[in-house]
Amino acid sequence: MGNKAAKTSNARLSARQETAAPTEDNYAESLEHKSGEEEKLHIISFFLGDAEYALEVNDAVEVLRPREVTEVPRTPDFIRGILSVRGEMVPVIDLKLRLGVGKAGDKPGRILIASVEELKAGFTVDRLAGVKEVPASSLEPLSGDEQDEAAPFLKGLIRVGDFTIRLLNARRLIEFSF
Amino acid sequence: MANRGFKAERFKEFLAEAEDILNSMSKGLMKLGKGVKAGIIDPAVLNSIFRSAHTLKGMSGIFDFNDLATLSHSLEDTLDLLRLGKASLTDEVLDAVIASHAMLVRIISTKGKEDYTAEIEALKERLKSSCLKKKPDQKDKIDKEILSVLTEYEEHRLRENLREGRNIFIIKVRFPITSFDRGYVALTEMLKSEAELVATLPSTKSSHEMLHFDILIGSRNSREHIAKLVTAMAEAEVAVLSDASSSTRRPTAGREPALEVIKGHGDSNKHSGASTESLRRVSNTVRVDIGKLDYIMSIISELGILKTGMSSLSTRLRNEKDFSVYGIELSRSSKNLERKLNELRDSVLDVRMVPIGQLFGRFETVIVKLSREAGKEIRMVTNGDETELDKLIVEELADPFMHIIRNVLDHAIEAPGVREALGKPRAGTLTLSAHQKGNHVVIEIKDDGAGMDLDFIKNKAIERGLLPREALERLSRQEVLDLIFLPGFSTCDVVSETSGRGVGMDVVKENITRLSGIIDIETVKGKGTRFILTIPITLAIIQALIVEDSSRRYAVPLNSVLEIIELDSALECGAAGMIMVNGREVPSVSLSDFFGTQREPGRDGSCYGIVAGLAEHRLCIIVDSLVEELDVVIKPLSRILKVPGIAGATDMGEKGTILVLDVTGILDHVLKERKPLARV
Repeated sequence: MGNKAAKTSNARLSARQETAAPTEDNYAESLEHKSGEEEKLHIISFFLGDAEYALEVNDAVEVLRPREVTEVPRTPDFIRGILSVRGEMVPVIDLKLRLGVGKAGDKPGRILIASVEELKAGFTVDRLAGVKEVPASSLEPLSGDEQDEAAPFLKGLIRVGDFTIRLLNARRLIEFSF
Repeated sequence: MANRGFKAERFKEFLAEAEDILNSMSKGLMKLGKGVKAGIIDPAVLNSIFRSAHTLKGMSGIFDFNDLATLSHSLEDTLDLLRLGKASLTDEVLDAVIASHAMLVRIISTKGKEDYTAEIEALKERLKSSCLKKKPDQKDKIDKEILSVLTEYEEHRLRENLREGRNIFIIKVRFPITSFDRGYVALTEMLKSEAELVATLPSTKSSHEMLHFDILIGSRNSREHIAKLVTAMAEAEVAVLSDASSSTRRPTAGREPALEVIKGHGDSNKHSGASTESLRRVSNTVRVDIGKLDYIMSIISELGILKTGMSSLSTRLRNEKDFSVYGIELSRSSKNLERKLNELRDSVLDVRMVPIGQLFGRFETVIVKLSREAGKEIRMVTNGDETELDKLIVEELADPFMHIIRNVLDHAIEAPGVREALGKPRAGTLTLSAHQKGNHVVIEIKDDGAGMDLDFIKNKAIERGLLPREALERLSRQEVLDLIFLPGFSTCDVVSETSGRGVGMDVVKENITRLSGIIDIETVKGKGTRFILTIPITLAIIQALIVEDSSRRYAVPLNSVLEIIELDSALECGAAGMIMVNGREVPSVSLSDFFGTQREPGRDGSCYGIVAGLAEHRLCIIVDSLVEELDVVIKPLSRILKVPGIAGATDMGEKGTILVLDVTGILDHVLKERKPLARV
């Protein structure tokens, strides 16, 4: 599974931390941690309204320009319909409606296709921000008492500087939407 | 990563191949089982089973598939003893072998993810203990020097032939080196019908031009008879090694052929017959992943859509005064294109087709095993094995078949004693038959057992709280039989190992419906039951009628449509109730009502009714208009998106994606809604 979306070059790497040149100290430290200096989290982030959300790059398959989606009767409102992606039928979910964070626009900016264990689904997003690399330590688990509508579908919050990116749980979004 | 992908690919191939091997093994076991009963054991069958086990062992070793390797190894050992006559083939051994085969099937179908260590150990023990070695009688009638060049197995067969009082001949045959392979195959094929081939031994006489073989055979025919047949096909002489009519005569070393055979051939003859083996495989078949064929089908369907575009362009051109010549030419090309596309479609479809005998054959060993366990005697008869069906559909049928057959074995066929008391033959007969009917295949599973008792079904339905007593009185005979397909009906009273797995006939029905198939039951109490399955030959590409309703387009598979009628009064079109079709009152529903889609306001004029049938039920589905007829490829909506009334979707290229209706599903749904069986 190639991540076609991953090749997006990124000019605005606001989230990227500066990597320090190796010193003896952090080298020794890295050996202790075995896996290398600092674990990174690769995300693809996008906007729903003014809020920034993200999926892990591993869960994302590709990004499509909006196309006409075939409505499917007798399905919940947040299912916009199905889309044929190279011959495979992929259900498209209106992400805003699903998360309960607003009303769906008529024209989504992009459709982000995600896949969990070969189950695919498309999510409509307003605007794509791009692929980012953030330190894994910037991911904070939910405390449980957030007033966030989207909380059931969040893996956690990524805080980098002043920004907050809500990291979505693709598996839950796909499995609990049908 | 790429490496892993490669390995996974290889592993898939391995599984497919292992399945094939187990399949042919199961056929062999069936034959063997019959043979054991009749007291005749065909060495060729035993041998082929042994070879299957051997191959499987080798293959599983390559993939570190330990469960498979150890069990197939034990199985191979046991089979080796049997074929060498070192152990006798008793029912007990046969059972152990069949059980091991079943285990191998299970290991393969779970892809080695389950842990069966305990079961495997038990089976190994069973295999071992069941075949107590018997001492081969070593009364030597055969010359030691001949024996020295034979493998253990060949020696055993030679003895068996002698024991059965056959003549033993040595055929000394020569073939030109350029054509020896064909000549040899033809000769041995011919000999197989006249004799048993014990061994083929290459001779030292071979030269640059001619290859010499000595073929050792056992036959009831006379030397003259064999000699006549053989010399008609090749340069050869036939010598007698042992003559059954004068059994006292011992083959002596003085005889030419025996001596020649021995010279310089010691151990290298372990694999006699190897001279005909070549690394080239005999069959010219290619194993293709069905996904690739699906892909070709999608392309064909897209080409069909492009072609439609082309022909509509040609019509437009023809109507333009200045371009009508081009229009005519274009239309001719597009007609040719259409013909070729149809040929292409048919030939790809043809590739997907497999004889249903493949499926029937799988149940042979299962039935032997299950009927033993249930203490019943069952004879399986198949008809129409050669009827062809899409490979994918055949696979989808395996589970429902298994379930129906288990039910028949457990509940329908009576115990031998009971059957005799009823004046029926001791052994029950299970008939699997198939025949083609238009675009469908009709498959029957018939038994001569107890039949179904309508009152019993009714009582059980009440007991299970499926519907109230009053409702039952109004049901027709067929409707009562249909009750067994309700979820919650067929959870068995006695949970037996065979049918009590928590899946009921409702799952069978669901599986068949998913294939756009229909299942019917005919039963006569005391006489037997017939399950009749009507299944489309393929779902890969289907003829569909594109219809429009509430400004949405849908594809209607034509194979589930009985007829299409034009309805002209607005009253009829709006009616959700009953409609007259050919003088018969048929329930009707408008598609927009069924799906709850917005109807265009103020629409009137004609509309169309699509009449669908399920058993004796009919439903007329009303749509706004008919658009065109097309071949379409149905894709499932998605594993996670299941909508009643929708079988899938089809990609129409430029024209977007449209939904494919599940006509029988809609019918089923509507009828249930209209006549609620008051489920609690």
